[in-house]
Amino acid sequence: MKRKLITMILTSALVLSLPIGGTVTLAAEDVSGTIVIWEHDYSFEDSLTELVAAFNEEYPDVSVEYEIKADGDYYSLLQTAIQSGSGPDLFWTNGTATTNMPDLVSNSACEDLTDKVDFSFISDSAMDLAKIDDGIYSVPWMTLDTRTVFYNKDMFEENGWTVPTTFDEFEKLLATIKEAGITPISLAHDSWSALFAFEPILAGYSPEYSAGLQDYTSKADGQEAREALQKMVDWAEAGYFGDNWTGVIDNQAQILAFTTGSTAMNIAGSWDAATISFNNPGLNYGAFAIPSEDGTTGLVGTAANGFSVNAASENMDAAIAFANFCASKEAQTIWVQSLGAVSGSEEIEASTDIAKEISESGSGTTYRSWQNVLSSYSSTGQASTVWDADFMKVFDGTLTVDEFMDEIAAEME
Amino acid sequence: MKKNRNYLFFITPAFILYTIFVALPIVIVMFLGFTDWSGMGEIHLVGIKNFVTIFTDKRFAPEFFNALKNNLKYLLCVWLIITPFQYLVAYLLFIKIPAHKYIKFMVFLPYVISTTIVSFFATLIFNPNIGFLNNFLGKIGMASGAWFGDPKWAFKLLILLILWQGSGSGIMIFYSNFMDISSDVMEASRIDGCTEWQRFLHILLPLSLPSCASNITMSTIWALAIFDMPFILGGINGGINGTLDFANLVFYRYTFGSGLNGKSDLGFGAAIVLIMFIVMMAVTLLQNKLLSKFEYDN
Repeated sequence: MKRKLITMILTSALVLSLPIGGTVTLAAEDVSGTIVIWEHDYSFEDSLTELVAAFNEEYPDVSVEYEIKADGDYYSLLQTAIQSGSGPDLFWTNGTATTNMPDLVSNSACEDLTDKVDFSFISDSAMDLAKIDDGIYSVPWMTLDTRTVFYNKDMFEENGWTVPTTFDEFEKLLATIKEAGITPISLAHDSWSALFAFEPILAGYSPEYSAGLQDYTSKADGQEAREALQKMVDWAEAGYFGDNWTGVIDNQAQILAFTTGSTAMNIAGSWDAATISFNNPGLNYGAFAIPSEDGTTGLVGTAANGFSVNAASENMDAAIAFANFCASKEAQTIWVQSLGAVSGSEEIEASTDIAKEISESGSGTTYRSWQNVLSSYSSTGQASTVWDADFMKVFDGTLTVDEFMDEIAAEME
Repeated sequence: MKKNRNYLFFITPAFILYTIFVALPIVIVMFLGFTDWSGMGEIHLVGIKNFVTIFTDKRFAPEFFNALKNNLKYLLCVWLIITPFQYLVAYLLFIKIPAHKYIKFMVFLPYVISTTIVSFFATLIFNPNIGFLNNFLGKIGMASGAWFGDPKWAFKLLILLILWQGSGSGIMIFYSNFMDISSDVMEASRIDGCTEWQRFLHILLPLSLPSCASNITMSTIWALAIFDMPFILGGINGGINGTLDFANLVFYRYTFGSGLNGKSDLGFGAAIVLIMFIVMMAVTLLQNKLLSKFEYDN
């Protein structure tokens, strides 16, 4: 009886010592050693440096090394490294937005962070990127990766053009700019660049349809999506993306055309703002969301995914400590502000004017990405692959919009 | 009498290294071709499923055969354009046309530049947004183009670029072969009153056939294994309408990229490689049979 009582007291003491939410964390002085982190793009290097410095203030005994693996075959490198037992302790993936993290999880390569990391600061929608079945396998970032229309303010002012307030005005503006002998929109002829233009066009063309993507009441091949894509194809044929845009195959050339003043607008990811400012610090540019016919606006986008912890990490305590730090408000603020990104949290203020402008242009409305629906609701798991392979064929005339959308429909639930 | 087996000491290290780094990987790839291994986790045997997919899948098969067709088109260009061009330039250098030393230097120079850098230069010239060519054409009042984004131009420009960048080595092989021909024979032909054409037709051409065989064999392997230039100039999906799609790009896409099911598929990639291996073997065997007629005994 006495033993039972002591056991109960000890168990109660242990339970009460847990923070709310059940997260168990070690004291900073108990964590030491070296951890290695892999990122996938150099644009994150400065933010990562700031993040590591802040982490080290709390955990001075942990040495953090990072490697930027900015190759097209990042995932192959990662997979090979993990398979051979030489993988990093933490690594970036795109979460559930692509099949890579689920693939790693199914091979037990990612540590389940449930009850090990305090996710209370991260929004539910961002957490969708990290959850697979009953587990949590990454720490999302509270940046809002959205798409926007960057426009050259000086060029607009010189020509007397104004930011459109309806979809019809936007379409008329394109024609006016073209008539003035200027390419209206800078766009690269690759599936991702075209997608980042298609999604905000779709949001402006039919906000009701875009809102329905959230719970999949709007089907990926819905009539509105077909019509918006057809509109985009018509604009391409009218030369609104430039007469020779099929030869522009990379995003950098797309950005350069805008930063050098060759085009009036650039429809792209909000994260391109940093590159635009870097390419031409003197460029006076702003951003707006394509408005719907009734004048409402919204932003298409999702949170960004961050790091997963390697289940085979030899320094699990330090790796978990870093992941836990990433989930904190302090780390999230560092990340959002150092990137100059659009904030996905009301508690974090964007650090740049352009990020604030993008954020305000959405009037507080956020739509789910059309491509994200392909990843989430494909019955065959191939809808996103079909889109990637065939999206540009619609613009090349090899496929009609209906043929393409029928292909997508065949892969969806 | 005890046999002298000292030669074993010489061949054993190379044999072991060759087995580990060449023979063994080929055997492993052959095995993987019959699996669905993603690169991680357990390996499951799937029989000939990967090969059936390659030949019958309604999405993959047309892509693969279009890429293979581009490889063979490129091979034809090697035989009919690139090799004759190399031969002609080598001959002009051999007969010492004016400024031949300068030309020799200029022709060989691009060969030492990596194909990645050459492709980057090409981007700086042909890219419609940031390229020099469209700017220049615009200034002289001519129409601009999409170049690598135009199905009519893309493949032709690629061949032109390869001709500029890659012909230097072949030219040097032909040139060395010409230089290797005995000066006595050349002198005698001159004394006997041969014209330049007769000398070319009856002396240089027959005596340079062995280097033709080497050049064509090397260019064929290059043609069937091309990857970097079309990847940089046309992107991972093989350029507009698949005009810059080649078998290695398809392999890359389906092995490491989005592929059939949106994830890495080393098993399927290995099956593609096996098919390419067979195609390369067939082309090389056929070609060697034809080129063996070019060989002669000194």
